[in-house]
Amino acid sequence: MPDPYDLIEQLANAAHRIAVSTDTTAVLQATFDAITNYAPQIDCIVAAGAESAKSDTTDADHVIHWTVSAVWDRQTEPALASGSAFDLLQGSLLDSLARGEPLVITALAETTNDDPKIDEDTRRRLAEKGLVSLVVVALNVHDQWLGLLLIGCRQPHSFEASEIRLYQLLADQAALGLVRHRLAQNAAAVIKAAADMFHDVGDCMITTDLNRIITSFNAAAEIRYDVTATQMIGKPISVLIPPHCRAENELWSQLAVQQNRALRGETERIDKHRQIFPVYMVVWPLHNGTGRPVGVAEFTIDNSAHLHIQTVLQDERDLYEAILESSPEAIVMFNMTQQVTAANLQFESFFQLSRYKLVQHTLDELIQQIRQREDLPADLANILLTFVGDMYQSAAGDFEMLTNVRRVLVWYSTPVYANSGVQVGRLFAFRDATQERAVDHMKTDFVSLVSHELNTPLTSIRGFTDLILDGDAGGISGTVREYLKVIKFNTDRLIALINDVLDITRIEAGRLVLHRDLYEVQSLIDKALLSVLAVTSTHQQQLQVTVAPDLPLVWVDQHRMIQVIANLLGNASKYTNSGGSITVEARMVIDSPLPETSTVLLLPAILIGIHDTGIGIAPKDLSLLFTRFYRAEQVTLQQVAGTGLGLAIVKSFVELHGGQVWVQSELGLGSSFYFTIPLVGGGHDLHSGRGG
Amino acid sequence: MTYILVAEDDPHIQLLIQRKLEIAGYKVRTTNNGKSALELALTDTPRIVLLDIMLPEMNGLDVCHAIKKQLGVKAPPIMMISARGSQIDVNAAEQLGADDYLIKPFSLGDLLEHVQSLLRG
Repeated sequence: MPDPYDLIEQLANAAHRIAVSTDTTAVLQATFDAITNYAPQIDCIVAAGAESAKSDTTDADHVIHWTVSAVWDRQTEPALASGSAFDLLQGSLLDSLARGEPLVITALAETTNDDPKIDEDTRRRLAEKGLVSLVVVALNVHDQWLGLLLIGCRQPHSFEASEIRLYQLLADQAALGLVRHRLAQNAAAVIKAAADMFHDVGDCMITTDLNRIITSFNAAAEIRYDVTATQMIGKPISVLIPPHCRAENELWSQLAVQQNRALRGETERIDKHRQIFPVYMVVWPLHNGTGRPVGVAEFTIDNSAHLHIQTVLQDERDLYEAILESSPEAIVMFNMTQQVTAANLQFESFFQLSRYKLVQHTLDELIQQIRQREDLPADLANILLTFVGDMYQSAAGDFEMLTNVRRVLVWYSTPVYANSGVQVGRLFAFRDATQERAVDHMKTDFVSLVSHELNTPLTSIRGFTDLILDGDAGGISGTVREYLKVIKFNTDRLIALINDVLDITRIEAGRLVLHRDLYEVQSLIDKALLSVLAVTSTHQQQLQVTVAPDLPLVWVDQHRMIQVIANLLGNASKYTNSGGSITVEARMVIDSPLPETSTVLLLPAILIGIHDTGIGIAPKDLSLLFTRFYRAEQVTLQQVAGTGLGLAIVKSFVELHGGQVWVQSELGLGSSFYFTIPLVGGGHDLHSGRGG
Repeated sequence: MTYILVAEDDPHIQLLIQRKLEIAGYKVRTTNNGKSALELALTDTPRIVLLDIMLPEMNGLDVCHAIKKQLGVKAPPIMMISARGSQIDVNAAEQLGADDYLIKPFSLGDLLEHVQSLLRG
């Protein structure tokens, strides 16, 4: 007879082991150990799971379907068999058990089909296992029926009341252990509830257990992956992950569990149609009630649209960058905080400054870099400093530079506005004008040279013709004189043409400098008249001059202004038939009325008009009249001599003086050419009589 | 008789000027290079000097400058004759002491007028 205290201690220990076991298997193992320890006559123990027990509510007798969750059998000791090896309790059990009373069968063979305690199917299966007598106790906690324990013998055995009480005690302990476990499972239910909360959000929420088997799948995920939650729950999540992302994703979930924190990042997912799509993912661990990790939740946002926009933006950036890069101009752009926002390849090449040391850097840093370099001109830094803060004005200019080669750079700078009208910064562009400047010089030099070389022989031709005409070579016949006059006339035309070409070339090269002084309008007109007087008198044209009294002096280059008036007078004479008349008028204009013109004039000004009664100019010729080498149609038809340079020169000279020139004409009736000479100082206190 | 020195390397223009001035009654001495023009101007004391700019051996402007510099107030009036007729050329000649400037091609009347005006002082 064992010491009763020892027995109590052992029982207490066994009960404790059962109660502190944290999962079903451990609880049942501890229970089975305790029973076999105290009851060596027992051959077999079966625990039937109540978690999956279903109550068929249509049956008033509480027909319950059981699932075996653990089996111990002495014949297979010590292994704890499970599953279908002993699925004897899939049938129904009796009311007594349902009420919590142990079911005792001392001799299975003696029970009949009518015995209400056990059904035929169960009896047959128990008999197949060789069981003769058995007791079934409920696993109950506070009237919550969790399951049952079946304890059987292969020898006839009469279960004593004390023995049954022991089994019941251990079963109660087991039930407590199972409840504890169920509570833990309730925690998982809480997590499931959390997952349910994500069910209707617009992005994908998927939970898995620690083996990465899917445990929940929300509605958005069903739509995105085109599958149902039912299809996916129980499947490994790896089916949703493209193979090249699996290792990385696995690592993330492991880290999330190990470090007990949320991780986030970008990865990819694959849907039912094998479409891979980018996602932004947050992954975090799930815990049960005791703080143990039980799974992983992942929340993914489809990144396709976002990435598409990024791609489009990037493409656009690339395009504009390519345009910038292929520009032959060096371009540097500053934002409103005077930071370099862009600099192209040509900028780098012109100034030998690395773009990557410029972009995102400030103007000050750039200026420093420029000043450290002796080969970069001070002009460059000065231009940037002067205009970078200018919100309104464009500017342009040029400078010379000697980096690896000598360059003339033409630059311009302009504020840059976005479509919205908001100023975004300031742009500087530099163009290599070395070549075109050289060509310009060559052209000008060439024209000068040719003119010079032409003028020398012309001097002789004209001079000796004059000598003969003057009679210095002796008397000549009338015919010879006539012919010599033809030579002289054409020589003078040639000389005039060369001078016109020279003037145009100088104007174009910007080399024409005005030598201004104050002159009387009357004297300018008089001197111009001298040059045409011979022609007008031979053509018997009437010349009339009307100069308003008390005109102020004009600030002009005398030589050029006389040339302008003479050119216009020459034209008037040339295109007016014999017997016609030419009128010159000069008056001051303070404001309107002016002869019709569309140009905006600087006023006050002296207006000079030259009117003729000549052949006139067709409307279609009027607009092109002042263009170089342009000659009106009827002029060429009538074979009037001319180069088409005279009016272009007139326009240039007038504009150099700040004035405007325009024409009114009607075919067959005559033409009126007008030009203005703006008055300095508004024309006050500059009256004639002060010299000039 | 007033003596005029003409330095012009183009023989035809030289002859032209010489003929016109002689017909007008002036005594003329000619040369076709800058160096001898300078020597003659310094030793021969001409009444006025007509200088082409593009002269061999010594540029007409340099001759002008040298004459004015070495003779000072005693230097004769100098008229440059050149096919280079831009205002810049004229100004440059004035800066170097030239008193007048005649642009080629010139008319014989102009030539005579300028010479007479220089002789009047």
